[in-house]
Amino acid sequence: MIETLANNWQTKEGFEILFKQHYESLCGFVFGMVKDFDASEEIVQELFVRLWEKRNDIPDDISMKAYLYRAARNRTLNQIKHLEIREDFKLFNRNEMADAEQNNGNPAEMSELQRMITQAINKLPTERKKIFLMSREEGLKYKEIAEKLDISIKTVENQMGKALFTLRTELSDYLPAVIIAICIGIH
Amino acid sequence: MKDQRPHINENAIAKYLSGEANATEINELMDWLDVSEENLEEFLRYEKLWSASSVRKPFNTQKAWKKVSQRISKGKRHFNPFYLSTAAAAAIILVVIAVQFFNTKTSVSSPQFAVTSTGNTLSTTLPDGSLVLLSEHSKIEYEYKKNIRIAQLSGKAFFNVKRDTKHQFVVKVNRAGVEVLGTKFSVNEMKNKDVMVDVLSGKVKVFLVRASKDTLSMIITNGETALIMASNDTIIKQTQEASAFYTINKTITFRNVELPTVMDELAKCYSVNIKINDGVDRKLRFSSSFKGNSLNEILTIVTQTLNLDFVKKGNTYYIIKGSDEQ
Repeated sequence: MIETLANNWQTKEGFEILFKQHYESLCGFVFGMVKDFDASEEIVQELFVRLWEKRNDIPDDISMKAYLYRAARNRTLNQIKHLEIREDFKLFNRNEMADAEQNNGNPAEMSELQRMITQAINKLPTERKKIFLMSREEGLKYKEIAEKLDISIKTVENQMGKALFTLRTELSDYLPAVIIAICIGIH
Repeated sequence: MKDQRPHINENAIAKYLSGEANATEINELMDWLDVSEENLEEFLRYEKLWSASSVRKPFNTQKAWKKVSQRISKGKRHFNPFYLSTAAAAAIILVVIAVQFFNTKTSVSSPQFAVTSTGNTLSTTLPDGSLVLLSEHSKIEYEYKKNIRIAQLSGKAFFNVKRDTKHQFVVKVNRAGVEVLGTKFSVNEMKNKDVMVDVLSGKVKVFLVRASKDTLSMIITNGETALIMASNDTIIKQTQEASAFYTINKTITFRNVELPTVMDELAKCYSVNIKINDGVDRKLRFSSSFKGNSLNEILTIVTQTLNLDFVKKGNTYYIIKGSDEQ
């Protein structure tokens, strides 16, 4: 059902599903490049608007997922220069960014995965757990974590990587099923 | 199945996802993603875990869909930001008085280019290649006339003007004008019709056609702000380091000021105590100008802008966290 609609993304209903399936992940993907939440969202939204405008020019048989990520990457690289200018703009608009981090996700759909992740995080070695939570919960930069704990940035990098790897292996069987559940939840 | 593909270092993925990767690391990750669609899938698994591992949810799909669906159902684009050609000529811009233009009657001809923003900040490129970031509910019209590039603004915008010695660039806001001698600045039309001009780099000349039809002008350079006051026909210059500006005629101006400073200034001006409660983010910043407002009015505007609230007990005002989003 989901597949059929998502395949038929050139319709309004299908497009909404495509959007909701990929929006957050695409933003996270773009964030890695631009390091700015608002700019990431704007790039991804613009990408979808453009996609809708040229929906009839895109072949039916391509993988939309691969297409979206490639398009997001290209758009982002093209816009990095404009984003530098945005930085200037931000000086004038700090107060407008206040609500950036107060959004709610999809708590109901995510809770199962989050519960599993919380369990896995709790099993991490103390120091690693601390570092991971400082990054994810407190939103601290690697440098800030390193300074607070008086360790090197390299150590933070390693501990973050190991923590993520643990999550990946602990949840490896579980993950695909969760993804499907989330898709249905959105619908 | 697991190890048939090149192993991506999870340190690199964690770094990328937390926005810590440098250009080389970003490129490496992109190259790896290019290898196969399975690599993309693997990346997405990591990303899913990453985003689920925090209660912080920076991206809101519902909100975003609302915006996007509105845009696509209108069927036409608001703006065409990145593909217009730019004809740049780097040089110093001459100081040319544009009074003449302002004294002529407003043209009835339609502008060559117009953009209106609704709920979002819009980025747009004018036909001359200048970049404009238009704040919410603002409007800009551009036309090229008699060798002058004219941008008519209502609302608030940030400009990065393409240098072109032969074609002067002028921003008009009501009777106030900004003539560009350099590059980056913002123009903000306030509710009370005053106009605030912040110059980030370069030089601009601001001017005001006064009620008496003569023109007041002032050159503002980087780090300075001009407040063009429509109501009492004058222009005030201030440096951006000045945290707040308070004149005897009860105009108070904040420019990108942190919350505690805003409150200190207000407390001084109105002789009251203002306390910021714990839990309120002291790093929040505020920019605006007030003239002849009551303290209640100002506090209402400041707190609403920053999603906060305030209560009064005796002679003390308490700034508190706002009630939940509407």
